[in-house]
Amino acid sequence: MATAAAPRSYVYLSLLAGRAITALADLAEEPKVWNDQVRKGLEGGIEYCRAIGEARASGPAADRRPGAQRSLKRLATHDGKESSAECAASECKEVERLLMQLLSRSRRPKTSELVAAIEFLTKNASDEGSL
Amino acid sequence: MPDAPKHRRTSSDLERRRLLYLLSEALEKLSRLQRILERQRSFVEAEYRRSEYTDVIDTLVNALASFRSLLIQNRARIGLFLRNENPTEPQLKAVNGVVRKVVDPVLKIHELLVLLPRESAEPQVFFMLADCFRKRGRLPASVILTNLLSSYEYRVEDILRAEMSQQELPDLKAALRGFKPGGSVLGLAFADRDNPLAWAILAHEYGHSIDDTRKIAYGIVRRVRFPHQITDDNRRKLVRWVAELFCDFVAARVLGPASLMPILLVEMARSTLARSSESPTHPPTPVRLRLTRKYLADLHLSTSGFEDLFEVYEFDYEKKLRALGATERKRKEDVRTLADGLLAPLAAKIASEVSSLRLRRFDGDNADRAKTLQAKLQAGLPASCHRRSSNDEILTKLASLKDKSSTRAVYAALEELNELPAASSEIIAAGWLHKLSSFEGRLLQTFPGRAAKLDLYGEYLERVDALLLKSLELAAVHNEINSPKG
Repeated sequence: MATAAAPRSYVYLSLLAGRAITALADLAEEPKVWNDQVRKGLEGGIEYCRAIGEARASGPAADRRPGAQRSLKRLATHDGKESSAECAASECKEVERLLMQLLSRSRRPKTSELVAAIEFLTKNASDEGSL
Repeated sequence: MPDAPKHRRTSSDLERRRLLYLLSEALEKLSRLQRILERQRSFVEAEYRRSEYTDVIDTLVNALASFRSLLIQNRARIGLFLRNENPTEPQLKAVNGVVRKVVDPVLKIHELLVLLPRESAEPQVFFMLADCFRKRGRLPASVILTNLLSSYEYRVEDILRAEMSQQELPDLKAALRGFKPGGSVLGLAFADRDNPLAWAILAHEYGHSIDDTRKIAYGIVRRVRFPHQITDDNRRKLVRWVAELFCDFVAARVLGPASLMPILLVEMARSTLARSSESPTHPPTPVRLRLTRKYLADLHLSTSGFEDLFEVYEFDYEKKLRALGATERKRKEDVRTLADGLLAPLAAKIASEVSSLRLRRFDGDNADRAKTLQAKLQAGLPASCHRRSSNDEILTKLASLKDKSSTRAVYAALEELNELPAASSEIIAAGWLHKLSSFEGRLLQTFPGRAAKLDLYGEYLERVDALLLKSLELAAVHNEINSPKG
């Protein structure tokens, strides 16, 4: 299981994100699939989200107020419009929550949610804060 | 005239092509870095036995292996994408995401190679530049390998002068009196040491060396009559922009459309346009691409075989532009409009300056020969020479000989069989045409069905590199033999 966020290298974070994308794509193709690769991929994704969140919190935009969370469905239709730090932080939290639910196998995700999470993880880690 | 694409392609076609280029870039960089590390390991083990270098190499090798496994884990969906068998949205997004997650960190790992003993450039790079710039045996430039992926050029004396004036070191300044300029230094990425296709960018960098010496861009801007007062800062920026376009034209003149390939692929490999190198030192690449393509058209050079990448690059740029925030996007668009407005009227003047340099021009005949040489590369043969006449023409001449033909006539017919050395520019253009027409097939072989054979792609690249290196070397030797001294 992922541990508390600690400063991580860009290369390592990219690997975690890549593994998480793989796990999400596996689940999108076969929702009942469950193996070590999927489990570790989801754990890596959670670690990635926490590291990104941590970097944001310690970054220049750390003084933002907590805002309302956007649904993953909205994230999926987000087409490059200016994303505020607040939105980005809630996006990160939302993806982390989804990954945790998938890891605990407590619900079956919609394809649109998986696609939105894949898109979030595809973003360049260096765009996500001072990593 | 540039050959326009046969039909307008849909954005999903272009997105597929974009992803193909990105996947090939991911595999290529993985393979090239792995090759460098293998060489470094042999060198370090032979020279130092056990040292801190071994740990660096092990760490980097392990990192590359992790990214290889990421691609292998996704082999089935990558295969599906390559065979274009209606991949679902999550599958396509996942392929894009995973490839991105390989390309970005691998480019970062390239920067870390600076921790290892530095390799030297291959001699063929000097053969190529000397041939393109008619500087046989006395190219006033050296080539060093660097951890940056984009190439650059500098003159040692300029750096020394700038450093000394900034740091106000009068004693050292005095030491510079009588300093003999040693020519330019051209930086080439470590990963491209054995990759002659990437060396096309060095023709652009050598253009900077010419500009530094002759102050051509400065001269062009000085003669411009601006309708309004222009600040010194803007004038300096324009000089830099003109210098970049001048170098693009120099490279296009000596290498044809192949000169544009490396810069487009480097830019496509970047995940975002934010923090890109353009402005204030470089005009936006789409502007450079448009004006250079027009320059090639004015030279009546066909860009057939290269159009796909031009079109996919433009698609990629627009996509990345749309992904920016509104403010940043507007800024980029304004800079593009400004650069186009300033540079387009100066393009003819820049072209005329390039013509006056008496460079070895890549013309229609060179382009035709490059196509013939491409066939040799496809057959797995070095592409170092060609015959003046076609086989049919030679056979006709031989058949026309009679028992009583004069000795001169017999030799004239036999002379047609002589091989002439290919120009380096023809070899580079042939190499690009071969690569652009074959990489997709190799990707399909690399991901057949549910398997992944990443080494196959590495072997393909190694084979192309070896053929091109051998071709450049053979052509240089051939030229030497044919020279009056030889």
